[in-house]
Amino acid sequence: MKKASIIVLAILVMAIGAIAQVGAGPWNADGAVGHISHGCLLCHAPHSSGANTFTGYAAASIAATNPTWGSDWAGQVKPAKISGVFNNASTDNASIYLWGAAMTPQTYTTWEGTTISASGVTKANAVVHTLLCLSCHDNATGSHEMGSYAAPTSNMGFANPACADTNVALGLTGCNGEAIGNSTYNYNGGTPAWSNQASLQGSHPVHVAYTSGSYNWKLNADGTFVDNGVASGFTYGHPAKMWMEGGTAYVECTTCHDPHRETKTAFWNGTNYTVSAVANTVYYLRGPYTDPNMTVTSGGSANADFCRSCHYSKSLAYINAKGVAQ
Amino acid sequence: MRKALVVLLAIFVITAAAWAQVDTLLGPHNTNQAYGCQSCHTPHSAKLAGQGLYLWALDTPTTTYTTYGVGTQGATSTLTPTLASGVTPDTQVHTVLCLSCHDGSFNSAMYAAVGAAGTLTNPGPNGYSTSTPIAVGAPSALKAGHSEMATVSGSVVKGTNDLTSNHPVHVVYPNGSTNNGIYDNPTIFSFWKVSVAAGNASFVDNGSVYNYGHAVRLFGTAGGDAYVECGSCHNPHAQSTTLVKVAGVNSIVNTAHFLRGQYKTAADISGFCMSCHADKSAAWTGTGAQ
Repeated sequence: MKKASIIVLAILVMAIGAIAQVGAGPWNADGAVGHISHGCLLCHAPHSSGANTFTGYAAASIAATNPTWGSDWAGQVKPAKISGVFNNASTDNASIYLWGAAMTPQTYTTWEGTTISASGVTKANAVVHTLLCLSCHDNATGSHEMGSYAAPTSNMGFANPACADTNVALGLTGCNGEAIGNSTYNYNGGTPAWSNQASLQGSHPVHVAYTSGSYNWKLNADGTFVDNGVASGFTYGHPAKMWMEGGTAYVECTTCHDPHRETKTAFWNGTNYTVSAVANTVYYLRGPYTDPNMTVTSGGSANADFCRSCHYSKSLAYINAKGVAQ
Repeated sequence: MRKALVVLLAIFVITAAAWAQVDTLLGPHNTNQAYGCQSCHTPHSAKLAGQGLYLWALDTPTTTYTTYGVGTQGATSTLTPTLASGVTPDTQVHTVLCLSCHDGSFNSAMYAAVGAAGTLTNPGPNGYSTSTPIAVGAPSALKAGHSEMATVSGSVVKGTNDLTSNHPVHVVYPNGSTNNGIYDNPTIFSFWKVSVAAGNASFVDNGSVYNYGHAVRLFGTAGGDAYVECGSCHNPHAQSTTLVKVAGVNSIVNTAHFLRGQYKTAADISGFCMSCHADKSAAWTGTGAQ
């Protein structure tokens, strides 16, 4: 028995050790390249975000004014949107996560046919967790603002390494800008193109309500999931993050995506949040996921389970519970 | 020592379960045993954009299909895909989307990764362990080397875009022509009465008469018609296990071929068909044509 205990202990220690290898910290520790070209400054401004303090500072003069920042930006083609950090006439985003980029000027039609825009939003609005992403991922001005950056290891159009470099805008077009409904499979390649259409109708529903119960998992009042994976047998967990507004849980971009972690997921281990050494992900997703096109040897049902962590009725747990919401 | 082995085994089982390659629900619809929901849906840049079109990731056919039509002596009909987004119920979407792959044009980008042998297999629990063809229609439309998807084994191979040897899809399930309690009696067969409201179709009998239940899903139109589509009998998300509700009680049952109802024994197989074809069931006490 003693031997048995030792063996088990050894296994546990090894397992913990494997997890602890990521101990460098969660922020960009995984080598994310898509969102760190300017560090946190890509999105956040530590001072005067969204305000007019830096009004009048032309982009070219920033290096002279602030050598540190200038060095940081040297060699980069500074995105027009990022100039909002220094020359942002709008003040409506000043108090939203110290947001440094200008909000998208576009009004978008969502999958449901409703419209969203940045007009008048505050950090109390769930939709900011979509709108902030669209600061860059809208391409509303029609220029390739982010095209000069190093190619990210993943892309927004899903599963096609061929369009990995500039494909960060959302719109009505396919992965490579192809028109919808054409004769090629969506995962196939094509000529990279950008979308400047004010439509999110081809994207997963954002800013839609997630109703608790029935075919969905039950939610607590704070938007967390009631199920902890134990009683239901749904061991994948529920990494998705719902955003509450007026008692309603909303699905936004950052429900599935954590813009701060590209390839690692953070999970609750019962004591604290930690970054998983084994539960790798792609596309900044909040749960384990494997790009099925890039790596065909792993993923399996984990990919489907990420979707099922919200879509309860598509899970085996739903069948085993005989359709009773958990 | 034995205890240690048990513990070790448990750990391995848990680990293996967490990273299993096979998805027991999706089965072969988990293409490449990795694509998961991405086999058909895409969270961004969908091919078919808008509510009601399921964020479809695949190309859909645009050619006109000849369908079985209605009734034993009825003329064949046609289906020309015109998928509509929006709140108006679109019933044919539940057939046309399936034909994205099952028309024989299953794309090599997905196909190449299905399996080393290049075959789709159905590891269902009921003995259907052979390579399972998945295409309907003509093999002429298939890509070279994909002949195993030519047609359902042993069935009659029809011409290009010909669905006349397949179960009626995109046909109206009789509704309201003759109101006779839980039955509906058109001129040739008798069917279960259905109710269509706000695009949702449901059987009037909830299983209290026909205790197999009515697992089949009919797709209603705003005009009050109920259509039979591929998705009426098949649930593409669950290959071998399904929930059926009989008299308000949900039960887990075994099935095959992604069917929505119990489908294991000979009685089940008959029962599933009779859950639509009322006049073939022992429960039928209605009057009218049979």
